[in-house]
Amino acid sequence: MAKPLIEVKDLKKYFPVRRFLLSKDYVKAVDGVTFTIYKGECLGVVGESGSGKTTLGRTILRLIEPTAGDIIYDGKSILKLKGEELKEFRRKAQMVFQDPFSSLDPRMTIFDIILEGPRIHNIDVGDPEEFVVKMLETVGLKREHIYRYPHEFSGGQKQRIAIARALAVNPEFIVLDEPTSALDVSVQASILNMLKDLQKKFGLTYMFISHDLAVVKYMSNRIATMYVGKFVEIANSDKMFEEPLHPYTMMLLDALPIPNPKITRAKKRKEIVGEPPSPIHLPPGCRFYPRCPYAMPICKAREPPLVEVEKDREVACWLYQ
Amino acid sequence: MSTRNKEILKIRNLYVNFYTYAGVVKAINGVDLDVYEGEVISLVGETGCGKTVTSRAITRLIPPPGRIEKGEILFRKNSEWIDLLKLDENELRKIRGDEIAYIFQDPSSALDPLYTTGYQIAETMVVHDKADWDEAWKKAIELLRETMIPAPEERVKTYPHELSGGMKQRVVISIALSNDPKILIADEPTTNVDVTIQAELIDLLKELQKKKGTTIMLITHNMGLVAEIADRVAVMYAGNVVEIADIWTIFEEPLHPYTKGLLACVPDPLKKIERLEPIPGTIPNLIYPPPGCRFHPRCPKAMDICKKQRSPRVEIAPGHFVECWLFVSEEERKEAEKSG
Repeated sequence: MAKPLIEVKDLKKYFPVRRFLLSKDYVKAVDGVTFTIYKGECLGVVGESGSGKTTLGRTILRLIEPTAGDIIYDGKSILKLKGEELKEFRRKAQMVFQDPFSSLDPRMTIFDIILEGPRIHNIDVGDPEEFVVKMLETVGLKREHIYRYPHEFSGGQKQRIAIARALAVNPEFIVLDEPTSALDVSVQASILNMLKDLQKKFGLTYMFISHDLAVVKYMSNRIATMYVGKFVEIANSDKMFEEPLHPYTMMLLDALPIPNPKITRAKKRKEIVGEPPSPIHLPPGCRFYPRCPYAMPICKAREPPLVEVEKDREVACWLYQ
Repeated sequence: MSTRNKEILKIRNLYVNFYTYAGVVKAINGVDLDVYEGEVISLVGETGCGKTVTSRAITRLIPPPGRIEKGEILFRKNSEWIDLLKLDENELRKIRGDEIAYIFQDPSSALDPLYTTGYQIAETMVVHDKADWDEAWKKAIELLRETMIPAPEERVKTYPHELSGGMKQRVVISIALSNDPKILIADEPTTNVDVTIQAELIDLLKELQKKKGTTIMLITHNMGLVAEIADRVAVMYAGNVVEIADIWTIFEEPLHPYTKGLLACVPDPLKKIERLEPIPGTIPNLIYPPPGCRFHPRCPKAMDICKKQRSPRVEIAPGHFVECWLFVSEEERKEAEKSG
């Protein structure tokens, strides 16, 4: 197996919310997540809105400081990094955000946007104009786009620019946070294909965050299902779709509309119970048990740990322990 | 599945333009579409293809600078056909929200934050003289129960901000259903919600449709939803309806190159896909739409005539219409070339 690139250990991120004058509560956006991302793979993270996927992505890049836990990147804890070392980590680990309309500075030309990273990191790019053109061509844009402003581009093109900006500093790891959810399917298809090609070409490691299971399946080697701040299942992506083990993964896959009328109409969908709990007031025990069709007494009393139930497959559910 | 019921709505030769500072956007370019009673017809296509504009044009909900240029929207009311584009505003308001109701994409902006959900549901009935306030309030509770909102007696008193996104959309559905509409136009009703809530809402619509026989026009870009609920599908591209067929034909034997392309770029989670096939090129700017067939610059099978003339609509099999020169007989094509 490939070497681990990132090891996340019991990571927590709580956001304080003031309830009354003195009492304080916490939104437990990420509540104890442990996992590893291996070199060269794409780890998909799926979950519904509010499950903490984006917070997790930002925390492992240290764009937000975690409340507790540790993040080991290439054998070193990134939480202790300072100065030059931190700057070097910032170069190696990049992010592509969900909304290409707000992640590009409207007052900078594409030339400046793409060159900003290399300038900050003192990367010798040779002739800057040629370098930017090369980056643009890598993401399927043209030489003539170089001195334009973001508003002159469509959503798909903007997302290509955001990807070029991430690639310009020669990174190792990219967090892709819903990179195609604002785009149409035909544009999405070409961006996804391009991301796959770039991964191969530059030997990149991805963490791909999305609520769209079909897209995550297409992109990822392994998938982690997140439910209100916790990973409930991590599995090889084909295996997860063939046989989901955690009841929440089952529920998600069951709810997924399949673009094939024969299959989707033959499927008898189970009734979906309730809505996710508030991340401020979590139920005791397993956080999924109020909605779980297989709930047992122990689920209410104790939270199940994420354990390996078979090779390359971890599930946090008392059914398998 | 055959849904050869009677037509309830006929859209004929509809043209809608938007007069913007940048120029005239030719958003809808001659749309013809029949809707049959009791069916679920789905309008699919990508952003800017005109599916929302078409659906809003039905009851003239096009905001300025948009204008309906020409066409007919024929609605069958008590076995009589009336052209909704010719009615005056007062007559139209009697139909809108009563016989033709809408569910919009964003439930948060469809509801008024200052009124309780019960008030907003009851109001629809009172405005259309279906009930007085007392009765309407009681019926609002019933409607909330039908849309499977728990504890409806309590929920009628809540304000929109107290409800989750899925619940708000159920309230919007209740409002739309309050006058037992003949046609329910659902414009991307599940785009802002999670898959589990989407599944619930779709099941709800399916069930209501079965129970009440309402005609549903579902506007969506999600081919998965279409596969699940639609009886017939109309595929739109750049202001034209390019293909119409029943659900099985669209998925199994799509003919128009755009329909094929659209289906090929949707990832199917049950299949092992090595590579998606995107459609080359981008959506045209409708201020300067390409001449001839609007899809020809992106079409892998474009011919000379496609660049010059728009194809007539061909009925390939009963109920399967396609607007593409590939399916026009050679004689006709030659004739068109000569005269064009």
